[in-house]
Amino acid sequence: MEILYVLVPLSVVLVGIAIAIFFWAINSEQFDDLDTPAWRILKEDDYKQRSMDSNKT
Amino acid sequence: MSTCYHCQEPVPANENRWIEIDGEKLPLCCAGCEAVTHLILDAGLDDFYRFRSAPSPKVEAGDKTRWSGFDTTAVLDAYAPSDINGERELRLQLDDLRCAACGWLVEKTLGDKAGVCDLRLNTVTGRMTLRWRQEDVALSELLAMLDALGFKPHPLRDGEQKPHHERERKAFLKRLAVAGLGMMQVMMYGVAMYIGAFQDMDVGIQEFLRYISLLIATPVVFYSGAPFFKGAWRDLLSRSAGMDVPVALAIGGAWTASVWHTFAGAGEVYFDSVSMFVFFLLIGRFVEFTARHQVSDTGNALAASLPAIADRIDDTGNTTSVPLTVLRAGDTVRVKTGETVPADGMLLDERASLDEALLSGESDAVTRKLNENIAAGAINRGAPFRMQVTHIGRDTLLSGITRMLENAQSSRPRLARFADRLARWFVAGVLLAAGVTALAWWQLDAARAFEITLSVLVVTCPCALALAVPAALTAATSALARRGLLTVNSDALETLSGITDVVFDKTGTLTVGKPRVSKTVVCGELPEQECTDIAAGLEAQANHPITDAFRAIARAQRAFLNVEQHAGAGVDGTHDGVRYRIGTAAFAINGRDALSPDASVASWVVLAREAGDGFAALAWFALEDSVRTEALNVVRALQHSGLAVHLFSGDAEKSVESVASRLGIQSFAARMQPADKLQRVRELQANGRRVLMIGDGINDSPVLAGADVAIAMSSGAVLAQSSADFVLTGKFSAIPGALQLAKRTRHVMRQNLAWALGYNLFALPLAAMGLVPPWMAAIGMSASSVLVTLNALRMKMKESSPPEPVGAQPAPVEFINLLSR
Repeated sequence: MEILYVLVPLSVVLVGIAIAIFFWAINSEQFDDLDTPAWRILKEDDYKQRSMDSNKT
Repeated sequence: MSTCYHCQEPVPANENRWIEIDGEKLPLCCAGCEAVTHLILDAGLDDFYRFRSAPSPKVEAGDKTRWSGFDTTAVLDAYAPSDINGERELRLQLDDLRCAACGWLVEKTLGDKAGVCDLRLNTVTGRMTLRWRQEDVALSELLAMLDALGFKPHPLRDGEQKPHHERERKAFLKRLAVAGLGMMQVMMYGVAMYIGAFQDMDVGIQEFLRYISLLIATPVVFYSGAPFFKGAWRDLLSRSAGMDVPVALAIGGAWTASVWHTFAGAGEVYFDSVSMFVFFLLIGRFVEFTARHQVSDTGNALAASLPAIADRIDDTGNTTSVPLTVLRAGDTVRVKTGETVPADGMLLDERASLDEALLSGESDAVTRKLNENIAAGAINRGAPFRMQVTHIGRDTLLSGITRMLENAQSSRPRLARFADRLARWFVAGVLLAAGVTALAWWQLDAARAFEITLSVLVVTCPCALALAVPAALTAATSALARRGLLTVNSDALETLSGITDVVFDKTGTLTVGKPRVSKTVVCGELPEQECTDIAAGLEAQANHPITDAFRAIARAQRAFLNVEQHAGAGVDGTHDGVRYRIGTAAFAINGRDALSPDASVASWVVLAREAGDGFAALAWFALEDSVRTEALNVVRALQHSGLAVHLFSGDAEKSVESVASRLGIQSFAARMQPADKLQRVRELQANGRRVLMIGDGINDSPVLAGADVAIAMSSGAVLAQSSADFVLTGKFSAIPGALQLAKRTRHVMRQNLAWALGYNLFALPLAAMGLVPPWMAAIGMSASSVLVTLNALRMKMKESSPPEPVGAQPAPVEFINLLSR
């Protein structure tokens, strides 16, 4: 059980990191808009392909 | 009648524009839409049409030079000073973002341009942050592109910071993060210690876990719990027993005792209870906070209606395009036809014809004469004019109205204040009970006294009481917003559930507000269709509401030259060398005519042609406003639920009667002045009836303010909206559903309050008798808060009909997505 003396402080450090990340997220307004980022991933490849094609013609 | 592929408005008869997509020829309505569609297709973004969930805004073929004023260094520095890397950052507000696909479109077209470093867009609020290098791409080009896509950009000045509550909200989220994460950690160790108590845990480890719990719980108490301590201090200073006092006592006391016991090595430790306590209390406060500041950025929407650029005339007579913020009182500004007036001012020319719909809700052109005041936000419907600026920015009438609206939104609802007062008595009682318990147990079994007093304080925490009302209001407000009814005044929700009578205004409320040609009487030698075509052609240049009425029925528009508009009277023009006029009888045919139709049925305009030395009438057109299609169902639904429906209108007797009979409204009155309407409302109220008034125009404002509850149409006057309790942004048919929701809200609020009080009355004796350990008390208290919240959420889940899609408005805050905005 002595391993706990290592693991528990480690978990505290992890919590600290988690809080730091959370703070960063709040400050950079990650939580303000949850809809738009979902659209950004759509059809990236097709779009690039098509724009390359239309540039060729 | 086909619809435009881009904006889905009807295509006028004479337009012949097409776009080919996937081999299919699709119609377009105007040069603007054509330009945008080509732009989108050329960029390979035709997926936009597949993704979008709403029709796109109709584009006006814009003027690229409009934005050139933004390329001057002075202006750039005012809006977006450059940083050390040479990049500039600008915040803008975009209009007409209809759906997430629009945001995607903007990001793809602008984001890939060389010179643009970063682009962040929030589709919900329309706020965009743009980072770019001016040397690589001119700001005017980027703004022109946005304009060309149909999303009008409004650059925001550096000083226009986010409102104060944004910062508060962020602070809340941070505190919640710390409390939540800390709570989870400490509870983990707590579980270990409880189990360990049964299984003979090694003392060393137990001590260790306690110290670690202390380490984590301390920031939770002092950082996340700070609002409670500050609140309690404030309450004590003002000698009132606020809700924060027992909370602060409980948290502070528990923490102190736990720390003592940790260092002493013996005794109970309550870090887990304390952390849970802080977390759940914070959630309660956050819900209340969100409920207060929830209503969407109406203020921003109004600010965005002002143009970003104005044409200033300097002393030498030269006109330059300048950004709005550079204008000062005393400047002379020219407003072109179709443009929006940028600031309050005084008219310098003989006459100006304006559409003051933004302020008054009436889209009929208003004539202003020399030296009369012109308000910012009005649209120029006539010839270009010059004006001298008197008030800018925050001093304009429009800005004052916006502020009124914002103030109305952020005041605390009366019911919440009532709950506060109730809680005050309650708190006094709890403190007393705690004191008595402490004394009693001190006599009986001193060792347990502290623990039991703690339990009493914790278990009866009035946070369920504090949550009861805000939770219900938040859920209701958000559910209503999804149906298309924006809540300005949350108090009104309770009054809305007790309504007995509903009063409707006619024009713009029960009717659509767009006139339509309902009858044509030919009195000359030309056939009907030709008269209609001539009328359409003559009106085409006018951009009047009547224009659309004729455009809809014309077959082939005639081209007119020398078109002159006479404000309030009619239009004069030449076609094939012959002069024509259309408008009021007095204007078009000098009042003399054989056929004078019945003016009490509808408003008539006459089309006349030059004949001899006067004008001869060709045809009479009756213009009527069409009743909303949903109006009949709405009236029936209201009557079905036992409400008395009335119609009070300022219009003519016959037209009011016809609308009333069509909708089945027995009680109606015509030719009513605002004072008359208010009088009738007061009479109803004197008879003990509660009146709901639904209207749109500025002349309805006093009645809206006088009724028990008021709903304003979003298409109506801004001033009406600020006197109302609700704004209808969605479909008309949302009204009966909203009333049902209001009733349910009241039930839920009552249930919540009953539960909060009942639970406490039940739990307090149990805790006082020592039957409830602190951790159970914390759980019980949390459970009761959660129950109250879930009960409120019930309102959002039970929906008999799917929510109505809302128009081009910022999306409402979902209760569950409290983190997003």
